Amino acid sequence: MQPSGTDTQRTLLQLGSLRKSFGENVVLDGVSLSVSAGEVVSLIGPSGSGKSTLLRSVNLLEVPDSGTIILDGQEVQYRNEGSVWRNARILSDLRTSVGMVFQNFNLWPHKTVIENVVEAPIHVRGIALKEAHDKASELLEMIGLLDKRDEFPRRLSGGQQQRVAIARALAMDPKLMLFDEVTSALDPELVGEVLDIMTSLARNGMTMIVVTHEMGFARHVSHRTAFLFKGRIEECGESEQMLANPQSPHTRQFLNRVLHHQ
Amino acid sequence: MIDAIIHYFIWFSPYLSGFFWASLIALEVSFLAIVISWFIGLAATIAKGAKSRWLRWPADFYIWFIRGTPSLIQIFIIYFGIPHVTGIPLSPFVAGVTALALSSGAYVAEVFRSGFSAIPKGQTESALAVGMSQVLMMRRIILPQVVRIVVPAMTNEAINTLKNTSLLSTITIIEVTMFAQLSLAATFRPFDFLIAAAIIYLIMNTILSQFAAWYERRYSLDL
Repeated sequence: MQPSGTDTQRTLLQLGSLRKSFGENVVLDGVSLSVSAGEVVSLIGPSGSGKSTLLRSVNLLEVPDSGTIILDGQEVQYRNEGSVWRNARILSDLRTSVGMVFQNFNLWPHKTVIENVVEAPIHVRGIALKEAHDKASELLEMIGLLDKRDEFPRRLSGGQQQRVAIARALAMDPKLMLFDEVTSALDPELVGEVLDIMTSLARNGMTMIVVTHEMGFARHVSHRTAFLFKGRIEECGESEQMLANPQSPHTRQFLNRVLHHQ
Repeated sequence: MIDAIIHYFIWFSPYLSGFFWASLIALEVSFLAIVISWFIGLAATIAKGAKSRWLRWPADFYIWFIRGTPSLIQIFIIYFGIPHVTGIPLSPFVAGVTALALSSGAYVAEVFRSGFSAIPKGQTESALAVGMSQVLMMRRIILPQVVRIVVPAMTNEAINTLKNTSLLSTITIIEVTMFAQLSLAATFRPFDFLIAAAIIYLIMNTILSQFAAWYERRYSLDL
């Protein structure tokens, strides 16, 4: 599948030789990846291969030791003379344009569904109350949970919570969405409703990087799939082709193991 | 029998207004001390978790000192000790509020610390991921949850502070205990006045814990 939309050629995100170690443990060993606008990229690989760290580097929840992050033509200045540069403005600008969805939803339990969604638009973006609520209602309608707007997250199923988490990220109008194993904590029968929403986002041209164990999603929805192994991108290519006919023995081994469990 | 009760109240009634004003003093002192102790406790918690040891060490010392010394000694140090060293006199009221707030703040700090550690890391991450600053995240996401978690332990601490106002009788504040002592010295009826004082403390603390219980129900985060 090819990315749809008019500006497919425009590079939205470019990661250059990202490195990151935790002590002796090298988690990212020089990862480069570029993602076009409207493109969906799946990151797969064994646990500990660095896929979550790579994803979390994009919005600097994890700060790389070195390497470049260029978002929409602008290099993110996360280091200054070698030391980590915690410029609140830069972090906030980056993170408001990159939405993230987590494995454990991480909804805010003291706020209702709609409050979760309008929180950041109002308090980070400074959008007017009314406008934020209208937009949030639209998003809740899109994910099919408008009737739950005044419930607290604890009253929702895992799948519903994860859908709200997606709406919360979308409420900031991100240029790019990051999904970090968002279906891994869900009961099997709830996985589908979350994947459906991600699929429709993808079809509507949202740029997405998706860390996933759902090979079906990688294969049928994402345009490209990258296989990470020991902190490197071992293989990356057009999803259908790469998953059907992997070149690297590590990829083959991994896919064998994963597919036989499904 | 009824006669005897009526007579007793007629005898006791002149002391009621005294107890009333003494209770107000106790409430005023404990209210101020409790609220200030929250800020001291929060500051100490944050300092204890700071990277710089110049923040960490003073906080550690403060908590260690307060927890290891009797409140009465702390009150005496503030009221008698500090003016003696600095030459600046402190009114009993200011010294009393300060001493009780400092005395409680160390325990409040420990309560806050357990509250903060109960918040999953994912809460911080999801707040940061939508672009919140540390301050905004604290104010909008973390603290509201911490507050809900710490209400029961904080209520205990508030009750302690309220009861500890009785220690301020030693620095001439006419609160409930002091008034009871003055009255029993004048009448030689210790039982009556000490029971009256006990009843007043019971009423104040019962109201306080009922309010806390209501708050806890109202803002519960339970699953």
